[in-house]
Amino acid sequence: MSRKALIVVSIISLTFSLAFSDAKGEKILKQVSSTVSAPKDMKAKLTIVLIDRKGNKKYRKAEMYAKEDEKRIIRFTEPADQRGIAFLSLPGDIQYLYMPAFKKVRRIAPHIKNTKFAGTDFTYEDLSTSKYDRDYSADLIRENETHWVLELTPKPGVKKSYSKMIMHVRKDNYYPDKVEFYDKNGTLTKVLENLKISRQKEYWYAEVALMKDLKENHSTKMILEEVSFDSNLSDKLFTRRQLIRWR
Amino acid sequence: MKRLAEFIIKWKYPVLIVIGIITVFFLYEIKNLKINSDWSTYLKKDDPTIKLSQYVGEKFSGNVTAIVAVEADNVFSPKVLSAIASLTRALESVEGINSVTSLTSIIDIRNVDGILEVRNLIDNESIPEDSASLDSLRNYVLSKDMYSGRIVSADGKLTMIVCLLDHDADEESVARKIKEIASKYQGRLKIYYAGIPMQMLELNRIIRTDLYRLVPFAIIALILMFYLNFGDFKSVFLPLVSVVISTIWCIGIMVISGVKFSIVSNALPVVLITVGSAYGVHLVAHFRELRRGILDRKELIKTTLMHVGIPIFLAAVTTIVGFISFIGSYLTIITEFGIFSAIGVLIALLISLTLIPILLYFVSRRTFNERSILDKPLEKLLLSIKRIVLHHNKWIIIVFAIIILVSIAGLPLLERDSNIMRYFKKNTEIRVAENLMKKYFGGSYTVQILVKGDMRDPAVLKKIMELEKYLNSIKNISKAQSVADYICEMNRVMNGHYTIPESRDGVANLYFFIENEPIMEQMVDRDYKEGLVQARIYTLDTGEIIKLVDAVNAYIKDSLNTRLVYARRDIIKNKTFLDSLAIEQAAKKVLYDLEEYNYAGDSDFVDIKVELENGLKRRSYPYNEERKKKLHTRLEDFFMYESAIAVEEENLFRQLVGGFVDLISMGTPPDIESIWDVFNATGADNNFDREELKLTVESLYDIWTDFFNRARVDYIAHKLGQIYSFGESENIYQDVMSDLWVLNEDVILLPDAVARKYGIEGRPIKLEMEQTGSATIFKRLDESIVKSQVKSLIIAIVLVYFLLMVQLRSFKGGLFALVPIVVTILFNFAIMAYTGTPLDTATVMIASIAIGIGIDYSIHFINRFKMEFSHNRSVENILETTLLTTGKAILVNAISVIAGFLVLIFGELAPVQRFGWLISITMVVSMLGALTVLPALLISTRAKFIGDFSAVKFFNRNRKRRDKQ
Repeated sequence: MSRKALIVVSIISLTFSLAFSDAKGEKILKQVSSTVSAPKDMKAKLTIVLIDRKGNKKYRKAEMYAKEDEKRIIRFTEPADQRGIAFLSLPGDIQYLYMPAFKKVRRIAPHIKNTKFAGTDFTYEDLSTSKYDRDYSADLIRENETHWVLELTPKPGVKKSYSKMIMHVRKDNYYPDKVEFYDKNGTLTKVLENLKISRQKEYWYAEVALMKDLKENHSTKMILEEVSFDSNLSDKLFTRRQLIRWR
Repeated sequence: MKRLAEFIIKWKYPVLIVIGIITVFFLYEIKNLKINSDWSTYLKKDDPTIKLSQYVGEKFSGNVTAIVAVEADNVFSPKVLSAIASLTRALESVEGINSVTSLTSIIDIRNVDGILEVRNLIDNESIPEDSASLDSLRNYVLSKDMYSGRIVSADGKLTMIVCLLDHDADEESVARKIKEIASKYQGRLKIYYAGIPMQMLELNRIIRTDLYRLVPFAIIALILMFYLNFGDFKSVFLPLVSVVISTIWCIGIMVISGVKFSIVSNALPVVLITVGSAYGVHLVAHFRELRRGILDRKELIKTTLMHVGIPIFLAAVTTIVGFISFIGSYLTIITEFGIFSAIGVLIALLISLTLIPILLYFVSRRTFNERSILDKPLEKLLLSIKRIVLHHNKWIIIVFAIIILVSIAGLPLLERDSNIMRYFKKNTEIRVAENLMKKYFGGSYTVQILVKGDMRDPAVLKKIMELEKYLNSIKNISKAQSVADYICEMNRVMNGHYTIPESRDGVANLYFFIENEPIMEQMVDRDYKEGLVQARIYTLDTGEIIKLVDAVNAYIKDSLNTRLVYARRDIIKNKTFLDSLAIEQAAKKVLYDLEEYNYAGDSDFVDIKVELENGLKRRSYPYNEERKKKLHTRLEDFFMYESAIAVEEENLFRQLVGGFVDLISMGTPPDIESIWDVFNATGADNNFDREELKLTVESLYDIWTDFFNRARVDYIAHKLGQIYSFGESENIYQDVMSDLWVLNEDVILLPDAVARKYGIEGRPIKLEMEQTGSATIFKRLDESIVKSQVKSLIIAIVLVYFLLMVQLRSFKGGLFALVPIVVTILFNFAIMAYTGTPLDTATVMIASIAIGIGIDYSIHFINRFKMEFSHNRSVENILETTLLTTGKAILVNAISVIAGFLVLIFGELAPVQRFGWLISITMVVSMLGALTVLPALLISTRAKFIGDFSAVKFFNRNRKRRDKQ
């Protein structure tokens, strides 16, 4: 075979394999998204552990209700003097905050997506994204016996605060157990580890998740307890009226 | 001495080799020389002020800040902002930096048309580009007290990037790293550095350059002086080599023992070289005197050592005593200086008594230049001194007595300067940066107040706000800030008024916003048991700083550490009294704000109080259209989305909204009955679940209270606005409104004693405060300088007197020998007082050093005088010989020492310069004292410890006609 032909062939095969891997990446991501957002609704108790650079821990407890991916209430139950502080998220980037001490509901501006949620290392965006395939395109960059490693980049026109995410997806259940977040400058800033992935009914979920902010050397652990899926939560639950009434 | 001489001549080669090896060893060690430029370590570690400051540093994640200030025509331009953003990010990743606060990293929470925005003040990743959003950003930032004059100057030209260092960070290396990173932006931006770590860097540089520059100068000065004196280079070389070697040893020992160089000890080499050379000079001089008569070189060395060995030894001991008097000083750097100067002098003595004789032994066969250029003029001078002393000794005593009196009179004028900043010359980088900090940010030094109390307790936070208002009212203090300000700010965002919420839950809810922000670590500890209030200090003047430290302490003592109670105002029996108290408190705040904004004019407290009383007495407050509209919107929103009852029927919905708008906008105080009445009138009360209706009524009561409170305060604020002519759109209006909010509150803070007097019960508040910060350290440094001065002077005088007494075997002799030195010390203080030269970390040492060096002159002089007395016939002869031999040596020594010390005036730091010229003058006085007033005293009192004056003639021949004395 001539040299030229060799080059042509290798280019073709390279293109082919790239295209193939692209398609495969997308496919995996789609599977991931449907795995992560499979339940119709969810109810759980949440323990949030804030760990500072010196290893000091702060605890918060909350209860969480979620429905149809975009409706969510998180209400803090501990510490006692912050009991009742609650967030309500509704479709269309609408967020409300309720402060029981003032009995007041305040709308929160939508552009806060890249600010931290309640002092944790999760941003509002981190908490709200589960339909990854809607916002990101994926490349399969490598795989081994147990994992696929995807590189996620925001689709054109989609505004995200990360330039890319590297997602390690388990082959056995399509659940990601590690996500690395890169900022706009392309530096790794945060790492999410799903330390314990459990199954209830047919659903997989991250029972223990740890988000590390590498820049601030601060991390947040979220532990889910008393999780229940598909308990037919009413839409009325996700209203301002309900936000206030809780005692 | 004889045995010493024999020993060194016998073992000359081994001694030379040992000295050589040790010198090379120490020279090698010197490269590890470290510099301690952190002035906060200059006080002892166990000092309570330092301890408290350390504690605060640990508790509040380090209180050491390095500041990078960026200057531009307009900070709010895309270019500058993006540079600040990337600089901030770069600094954040430096090891040892805890957090970085800048325009692009500071959190901002605001309420825009009822919608909360929580985010960075300027988003790192989307810096505005168009001029409209840049302008609105600029206006917003500059209008907020939280940013303007704190993180960015009020004119928008200078902004700070504040790096908070880790408590255990190596400040110097972090500072170096900061400079390295920031300097890459130099050119694009104009950059300045401030804060202690950056100052340390600069100090470090200065100490090093001074060291490298001053030492060679001092050596050159000495070479010159020695040459003028001896006239040949052999005699110059010997004393010089010995002091250079002993200085190397001394600094080597310093390095090995881990002691760092400081702003004081950088004078050490010059001091050692200058002082230590005297011993060699005496040896060489005496050797030259003797070699005319003695031919055997062993004998020559032995005799030289036997003659001058003891006086040299004594001179060194007194000098060591002078330096030792610094040990145990309140300032560590002075103690260190004392220890190592003493060691250095000891080494110089040893080297002079061993190395020089050996070297002299080798060169003794060579020829020496017998007479020097200086001999003639010096002899002339000494002979005229002799004449004056002989004929006018009473006058000399009188002149010196006058000097003493004038000096004592000047003592109260003596100033002190403990502020390290003032040690830098005016045009240095650090001073320029400090001036900028002063001009735009109220200075870079701080007053800090550690508050011990429950930081979630509204009463504690209210008290902190009061303290801040007080701090800002003190001259030279501004920009007081604490977590209480953030709580007020959050409250404004949430509820519309800049106040501390009334309830603990309210405070806790607001903490929710900022709890995990890095800035919190600087203001409140993890357990919310302690908080830190910080304010900036404008002045660098030590006296002013002491004044403000004292004022703050007095305030803490008087008003804050009295027991306080938090009482409910809504209990009927207390109402009248507590209302009047609330009016009083609100009026005070209003007056303060009027003064802040220069609105006060000739307004007085009583006027404002009357206005408040009248305003509060009203039965209702007016609702204008705008407020009515707001109320309408609020009620619609309420019934639509929030009310416990869900009103689905549109007619009823409109009836209810309309009914409540009418009710609430009457402007009367909220009352539950009327709310029920509205429901009854619509018949709605039967259609809903009783429980849900009750909840709805409660919510409506809250809404009404909110509107009523706001209407009431607005009414009074408007009234005040009419009187002092300010409008609703101005900042002062917002402040006054918040001041008046106290009137709406159901709780009030009052002293326990007052509460008890009026039989009011309340919740006791536990609260303690302690002042710390750089101001207190300055004050402590200042006190320490004075204490050090007194302590070391007393030690030096007592020890030296004791030595003299033993040596002269006479109480009176000891006193006489002290006279020149006492005059010298007083004269030194007088010059400082009358020229406004302050006592500082370096000049504080002059007096004791003057004792150490100057007393040698007295010792040498009295010794020779006494010696001559035994084999001379007349006082004139005795005096003449003493002056021409020892007197000349004293003169030469003084001139060389002065030449050496004067080099210090080329130092970069003010204290070293002052030290240089002051000690030079001191040496002149000390020398003159020894040569004039000392013999004058000896002669006029016919001192018995010298000998029997009646046994000798007074004058030589043919002078009787002038003898009137």
